[in-house]
Amino acid sequence: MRESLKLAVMVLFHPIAAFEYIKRKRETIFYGMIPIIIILALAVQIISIYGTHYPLSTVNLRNANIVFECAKILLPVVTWGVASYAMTTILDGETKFLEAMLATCYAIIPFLLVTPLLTLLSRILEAGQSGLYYGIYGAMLFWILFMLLAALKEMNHYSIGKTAVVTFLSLFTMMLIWAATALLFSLSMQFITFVKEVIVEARYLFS
Amino acid sequence: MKKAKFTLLLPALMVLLALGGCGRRGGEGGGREAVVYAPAGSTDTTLENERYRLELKENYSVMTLTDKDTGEVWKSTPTDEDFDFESLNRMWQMRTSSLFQLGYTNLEAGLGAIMNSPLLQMDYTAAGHIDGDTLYVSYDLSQPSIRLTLAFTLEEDGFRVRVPFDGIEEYGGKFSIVSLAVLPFMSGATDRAEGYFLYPDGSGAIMEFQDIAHIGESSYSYMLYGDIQNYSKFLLPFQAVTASASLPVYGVNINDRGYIAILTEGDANARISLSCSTKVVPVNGLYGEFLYRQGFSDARVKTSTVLSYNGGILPGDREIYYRFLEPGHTDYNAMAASYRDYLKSCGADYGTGQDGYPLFLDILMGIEEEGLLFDEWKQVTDFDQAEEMITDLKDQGVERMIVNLKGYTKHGYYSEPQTFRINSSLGGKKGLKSFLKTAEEREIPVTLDFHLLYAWDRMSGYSRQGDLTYLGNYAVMTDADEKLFLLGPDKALSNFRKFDGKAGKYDIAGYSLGGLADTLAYNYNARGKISSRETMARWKELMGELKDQYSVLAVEGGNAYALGYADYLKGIPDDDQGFRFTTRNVPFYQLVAHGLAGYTMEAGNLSGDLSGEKLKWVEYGYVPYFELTWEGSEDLMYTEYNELFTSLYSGWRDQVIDIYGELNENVGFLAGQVMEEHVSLGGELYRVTYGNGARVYVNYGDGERTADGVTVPGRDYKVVTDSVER
Repeated sequence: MRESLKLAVMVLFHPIAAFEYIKRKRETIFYGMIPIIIILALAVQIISIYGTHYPLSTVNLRNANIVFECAKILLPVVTWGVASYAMTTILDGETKFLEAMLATCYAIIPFLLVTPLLTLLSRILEAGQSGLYYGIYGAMLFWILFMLLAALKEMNHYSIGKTAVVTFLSLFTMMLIWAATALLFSLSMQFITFVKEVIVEARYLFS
Repeated sequence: MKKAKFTLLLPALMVLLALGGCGRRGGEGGGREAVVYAPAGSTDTTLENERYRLELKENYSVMTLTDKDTGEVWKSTPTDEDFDFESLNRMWQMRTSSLFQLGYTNLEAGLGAIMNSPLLQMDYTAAGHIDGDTLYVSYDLSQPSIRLTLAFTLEEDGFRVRVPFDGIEEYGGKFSIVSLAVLPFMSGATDRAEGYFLYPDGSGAIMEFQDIAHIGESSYSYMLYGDIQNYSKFLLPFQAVTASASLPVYGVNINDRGYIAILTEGDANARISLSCSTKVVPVNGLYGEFLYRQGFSDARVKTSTVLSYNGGILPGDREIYYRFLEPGHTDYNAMAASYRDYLKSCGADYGTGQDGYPLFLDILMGIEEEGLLFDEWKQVTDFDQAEEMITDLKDQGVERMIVNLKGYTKHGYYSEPQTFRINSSLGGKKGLKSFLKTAEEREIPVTLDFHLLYAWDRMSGYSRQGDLTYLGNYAVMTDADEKLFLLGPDKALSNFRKFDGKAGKYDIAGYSLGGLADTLAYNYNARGKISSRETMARWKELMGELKDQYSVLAVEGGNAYALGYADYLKGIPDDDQGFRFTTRNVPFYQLVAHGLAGYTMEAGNLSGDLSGEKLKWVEYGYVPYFELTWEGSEDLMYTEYNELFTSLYSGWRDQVIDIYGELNENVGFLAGQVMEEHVSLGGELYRVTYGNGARVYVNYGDGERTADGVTVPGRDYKVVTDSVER
């Protein structure tokens, strides 16, 4: 656990070394950090929704939906982990699924670190200073993106060109996963509706 | 093996679906044999008492009633002298001549279509038999294969038509009775006749025959006591309010003759229908219509609204009591007087227990606002602050006051089904006790607000399958967001009894109950099935118990079955629902209820024109009513109760004290008096006369107006008694 916390700090300052470390210690590393980081990310997201100063907030607390707000964090992280792993399995990759997921989770450590600070900062900013606020937020996203790509490249020993190709394919796969999930959801709903209608028909018949 | 099972299952499913499309089986009305009230071959046609002679002619299809004292004749067909029977087509000739009109449907086909057939359109045989003072006429309608009996009884002031439930038989097995309109065109009037129809739309509405606005308008039916399918809380803002009526009575004033018709039995499943004249059919009609089966949108049809009818027939006798008015005294005041007399004959006690108008004060304490993770408690008044409010008001001269606490439980307002757990941040049970003690010392009755039917999805304490109200189409009653449901009446009652078991130990004066008198509930949930008739009986029983147990009972709404039980009726409309055929609204409800119960309309602090509303309170005899909070209502903006947009006590205090003081001094002595007459004197000036002879003149116009020697300044009122002009 202590090693995992150290790794979280390491990933901020020496990301390449940190991702190499994950791969090297694949047998002993604590994979429990995957759910821990995800839960922390969800908590940070909720704190941010509640805490961000109103003029800078993009989410209206009164209309916010807890499921949607959690999905905004959960979906990209999980589907990137799954999609990138899927691509690496067919494109000479060297990582296992849990390693890919763990690296993805560690890549969002800047979100855990920056977002609370940004939330506090927002309390002393007003709408006219939103450039600073959103600038820092954009830099954080860029940081996370860099870490994801670094993890993909270093842990699979890809060249920059191949990393770009795998990234593109992973993004495409993510979209496929989302489309397939949406389709599955839609079909499930239709099936449930169908079952309900059969029940209604039966009730009309036997009432 | 699995494949074989699937191939067996698929045809079974298809057969099930095919059979499902065949519709619904007949109900309990199907196989039962009717009691024979008039044996075949009996030919009695005439019934007489000292004043009236009732005759049934033309094979029992036409009724004629003659007043032997005056020679006046009423018929089941229009008696308006301008009515040109020959100008109608054959269908309408039969419709206007028939003694009744029967609605029936084919439940087996399940197509939702209703055949509305006048008696003369159906093949039938009829027999009449007098037994005691009743003329029974039994009809065997061979076309829909339905038997039914009408029982006529003469009274001193009119007659009754009764439809014994055990006289109905659906012997063909194909058609089932849905509705029965009795004497649909006895009130028939052309557009040239003098007079009007009175129907219980809102406070009461009038359609003058000579007002051309109604010509060509669609027929309209007012569902008595409302229908939970159209529960106001479930309607979206753009959805039209469905016509409903609180009093089971309508009246006809035609060429200085008139009557009122009271649905004395079967009113829980009935409607009052208004049929407007057209160029082709130049006759208007107003009649009571009894419902025998409840219609629901067929849940199987998505592309359009098709009604399907529940198989079970709604039991119970039906009766309409026609009370004739003395010639020359046939306006809505006379109709109200006649209805009051009827209520008195049923035990209503006018003029007791009301000693001046009180100030009816709702105090909202707290409500939860739905949050992202947790609901947020929004507190606007605690018990100490409520204590300070009532003490201050009393000290400032508000002598009579009824205080109703809202949102006092753990989760606040709109948190039903409630358990009696007092919110600790309000002061808890200790705070409530202290508040009630202060109120008692100051002789201020305190009621607790309780909505019987609400079940919010965020609250527990009920089963979604077993306790909620379901319609006959198996759909659960809910709003567009599926946040609010309605408890079945039985569950609602048991919840309330548990609540009362604990709350009743405190020194409360009574309750203010919602969901009881605003809409009459029913439930088709198999686990708590109950008809609106049974619900009405339950509510009456409950109100009777509470009346005995407590000193104050207030109810939301003014459905007739609450009259005589409730001390205060809340939310009584001062207007009609605004249908185009209505000429004007009149305070018919107020003429009936004043002196029997106190009643309120919209809270004064929510009115867009408080000075105008104050005049309305004076004219219609309303109890002054406010809904206040210690803190401002801004915190309520994002709660379910954001309709309370201004309620700050310190902001409204002076106006409340002034208005109460003024009304108490000027019109307080009228509380408990019967409102005998309401007259428009033209030019926005109205005169209301009470049983003690006091007259109230209300002038809504800006300029001064004089009538009967009394001058009333603009937007003001004058009260005149024998000795004093105020």
